[in-house]
Amino acid sequence: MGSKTVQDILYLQASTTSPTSEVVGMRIIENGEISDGPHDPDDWPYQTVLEAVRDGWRVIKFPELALMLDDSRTFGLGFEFILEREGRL
Amino acid sequence: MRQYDCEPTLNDTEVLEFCKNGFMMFEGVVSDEINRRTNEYLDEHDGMEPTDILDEDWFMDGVIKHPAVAGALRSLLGKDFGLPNLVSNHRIQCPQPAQEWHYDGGDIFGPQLNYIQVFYYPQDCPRELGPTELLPGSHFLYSERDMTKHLGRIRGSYHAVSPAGSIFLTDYSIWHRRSESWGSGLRNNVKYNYWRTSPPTRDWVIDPGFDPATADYTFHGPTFRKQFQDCYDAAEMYFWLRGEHDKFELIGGQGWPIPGNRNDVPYGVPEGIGR
Repeated sequence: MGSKTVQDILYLQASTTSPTSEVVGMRIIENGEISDGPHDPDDWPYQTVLEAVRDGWRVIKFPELALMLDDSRTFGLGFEFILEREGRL
Repeated sequence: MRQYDCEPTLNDTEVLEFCKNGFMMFEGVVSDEINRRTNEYLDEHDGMEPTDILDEDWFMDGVIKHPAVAGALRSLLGKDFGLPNLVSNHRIQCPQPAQEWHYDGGDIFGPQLNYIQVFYYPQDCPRELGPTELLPGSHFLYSERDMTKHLGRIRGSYHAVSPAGSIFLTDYSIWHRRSESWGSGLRNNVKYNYWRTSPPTRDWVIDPGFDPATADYTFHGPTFRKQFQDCYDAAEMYFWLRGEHDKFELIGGQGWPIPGNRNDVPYGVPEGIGR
C-alpha cells in the first residue's frame, strides 16, 4: 500500500433525487485515475447511490435542484450525486 | 449555395422515429469503390477540414447525393435542401481515450429542424476503433454545454458501430462523443451539414394508416426528463415538421399525446390535424 492519501471521487447521475433510484450515468476518479467504468450498465459498480454509500462512499454534493426550476427548458443528465472516499497512491 | 432535390423516402412513422431518437443510421450504403477513393483522398488531404472533396463528382454522387440518404434528407428538410459547403474529418490514430460528451457549438435547442448533421465512415468502424457514441433523445435534453464535460458512461447510449460506407443523420443538438478506442490504425469520420431552404410541410411519403391522434410518441429508453416530456417533445417536433406548429397545443393530464390503453381517441388532440 502506498503512503500518500488521495481523494477518490464518484459521480453518479440518478434518475430521481432518491438515493434508491436507478443510476443512469457514472464516472469515477480512483487513485488519481479517471475511468468511465464498465461498458455495460449492468456491470457498473453501483446501481443506486445507496449501494455506494453502503460501500463506504460519502456524499459530498446532492443534486442541484435549482436546475429543475425551469422544467420546460433545463434538464441536465439526471440528478447528480458526487461522493468521495479516501484512496491511496 | 448548392441545392438538391429528389423524391422523399421516409414515411410518417419514420419521420416520427427521427423526432424521437434524434438520429437515423444507414449501414453500409456507400459502395466499396467510393469508400476506397474517399480513404485515399483523406490520406492525401489529412487536415481537419478537407472541404475540397466536395469538388469531386464521384464523392458528390456516391456519398453526398446517395439516393437512400438524400431521400431521407429530402423527407426531413423539404424540397431543394442545401448541400454541404464545409467538410470536417475527425481522423484519429487509435487507440484514444473517449472524448468528452458534448453537443456541437452553434446549437439552438427546440423543435425546429433547419439543418442536419451527418457522419460518414469510409472504413469499418467496430467498437475498438472508437465509433461516435450518441445519447438517443438528447436533442431535447438542454443542458449548458460545459456542464456535460465530467460525464462518463451513460445508460442507454448508442455506439455507432457500423461497416464501411455507413452514414448516419443526426439532429444537431444531440449529445455525442468519440468513444474510447483500443484497436490500432487510422479511423476517418467525415462530418458535414445539410440545410433547409423551404418551409416545413408534410410532403414526405404519406402513410394512410398513420394517425397523429393515436401515434406512439413515446421514447423507449432513458429519457432523463420528467415523465411524458419525451412524448410532448417528439410530438411538437413532428408537428413542426408538418408545418403545423401553430396547431400544437397541450392540455396536460392524461391527454394527447401520452400513451394509454384508451377506449376512444385521447382528449386534447389538436384541432384541424389531418391523418
